[in-house]
Amino acid sequence: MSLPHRVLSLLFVFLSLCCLPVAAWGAQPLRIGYIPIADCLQLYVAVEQGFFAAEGLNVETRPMQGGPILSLAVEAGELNIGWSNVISLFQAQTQGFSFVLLAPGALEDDGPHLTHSLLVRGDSPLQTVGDLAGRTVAVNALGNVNDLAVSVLVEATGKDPQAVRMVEIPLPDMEAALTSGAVDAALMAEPFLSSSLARGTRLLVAAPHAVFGREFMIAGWFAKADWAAANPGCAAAFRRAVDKASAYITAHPTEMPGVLARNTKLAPNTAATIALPAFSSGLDQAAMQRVIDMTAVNGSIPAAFPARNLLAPGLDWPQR
Amino acid sequence: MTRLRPLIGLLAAALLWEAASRAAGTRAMPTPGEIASAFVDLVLNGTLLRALGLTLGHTTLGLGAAISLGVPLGLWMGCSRTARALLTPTMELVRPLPPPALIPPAMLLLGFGPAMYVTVVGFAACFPLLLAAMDAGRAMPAPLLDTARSLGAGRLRIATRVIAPACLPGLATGLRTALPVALIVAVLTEMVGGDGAGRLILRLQRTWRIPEMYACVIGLGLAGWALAAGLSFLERRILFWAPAYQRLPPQP
Repeated sequence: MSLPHRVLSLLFVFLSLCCLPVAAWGAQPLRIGYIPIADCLQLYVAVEQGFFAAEGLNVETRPMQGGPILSLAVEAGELNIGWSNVISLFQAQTQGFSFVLLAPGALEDDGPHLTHSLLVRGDSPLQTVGDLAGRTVAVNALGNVNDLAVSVLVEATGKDPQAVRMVEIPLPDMEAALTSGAVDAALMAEPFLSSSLARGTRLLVAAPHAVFGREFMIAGWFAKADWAAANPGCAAAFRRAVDKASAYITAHPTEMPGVLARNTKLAPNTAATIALPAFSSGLDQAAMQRVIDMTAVNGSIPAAFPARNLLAPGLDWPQR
Repeated sequence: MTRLRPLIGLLAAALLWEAASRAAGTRAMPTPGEIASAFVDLVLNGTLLRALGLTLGHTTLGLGAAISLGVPLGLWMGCSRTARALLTPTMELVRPLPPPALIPPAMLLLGFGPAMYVTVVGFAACFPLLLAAMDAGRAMPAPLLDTARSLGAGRLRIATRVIAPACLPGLATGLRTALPVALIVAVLTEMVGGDGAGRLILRLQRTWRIPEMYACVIGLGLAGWALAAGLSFLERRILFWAPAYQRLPPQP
């Protein structure tokens, strides 16, 4: 390589590197990422009821495929606030990416608020979760809460979780992959869960997230710690709007099918039949600590850390 | 000094990366030292080699399919005007299709097993080989065939002793083009299909193990480089007699 060529190529590498971490935040709207499923109900309600506008927030919402992708977009500055399952946030935390929760999100239990299940085809030979060894399982994002739940369940049967092949398939496409035989099982979430069951798929594990505890905060709203520290007013306003939405959802359960029908691809009559997560402005820190410890024992994070490291310091965190 | 130049380039790139990484101050851009130590860890615990093994397996599988389909078809099209007239329009119609576009339908029809890799990677790698074989077939010097025939050589002897050696250099060129294409498409398919180094990179990114992710990217780069180097070594060994390889500097 001649000298001018070398100089030019080094220059090119250098310029490309300079362009990477550009995060512009100015008079632009607050960019919020979400997954178009029932778990993000707080966002739909806060937008429809004008809770964001009442706080003086101009928001721009962007649908995305899964928590880890949302977190990458938040890390890159593409989004200001994201919605992520907590496992992905734990992993980011232990790898030196500092994200903080701004507001509690969806609470799941194994009763009326059961929103995730592991499904197989109606005619599938699979009977127990241990049969998944050597099979292909669809999750909406690799290494997330659903991936971990399947691993923990398989490990509990004495089989090797590494023998289960996880593939990443967006939630809306899972049923097609399942019925065509491309995957043997799929960890689906509402609203796709109910409609898929109605079309003849079968439950393999009804409540896979029960491995994390009876009531489990599956996900929450988060931002980069830097951003939350630099925009405390904005973070607090966002929190107030989301808390109002949580209270509204609890007070008006009958309105929720309509909200979902308007904000997800769900038919109104199906929306009326699906299970919804619970929402609260409180957070059970002890329960969250338990999930962090479990994640560390499973090896998905190298070491446990105090749950409060993940909570935005400028905000109130009442006990649920 | 002349022989050190490539090393100087590498060193400069590493220093620049180090400086940029420090300046950026984000964990999304670890320093070369962190990446190197992650690379050593991934190699020692076997994760990287296992993933790369799968990826090379998928690449070979697709390449094998491409060779067994593209080479005979290309030679036939090169030798026969009728075959050319018959197949060229279809080929030109299918060829511009970007191979990754085949991944979703292949996934649905064939599942996530070897059949998907054979189809998608094979499709991608097929065209460079087919075109090279066609050109090689067309460029076959007629006097060679006539001479062999007039000397009483049978069909089999002509095929193995005349046609095959005459086409090999052209096919080698096709293979050299097809190899990186096969590797690229194999990794992309793995990102969707859930195996090998493609999946490992994605998984490491999604679980925020960023130095490990870069280490895996570098591992794939080294694997691609090794494949190309191995192929060019074989070419020089097998095709030492071909004019194109005699312009290389003389061996000591």
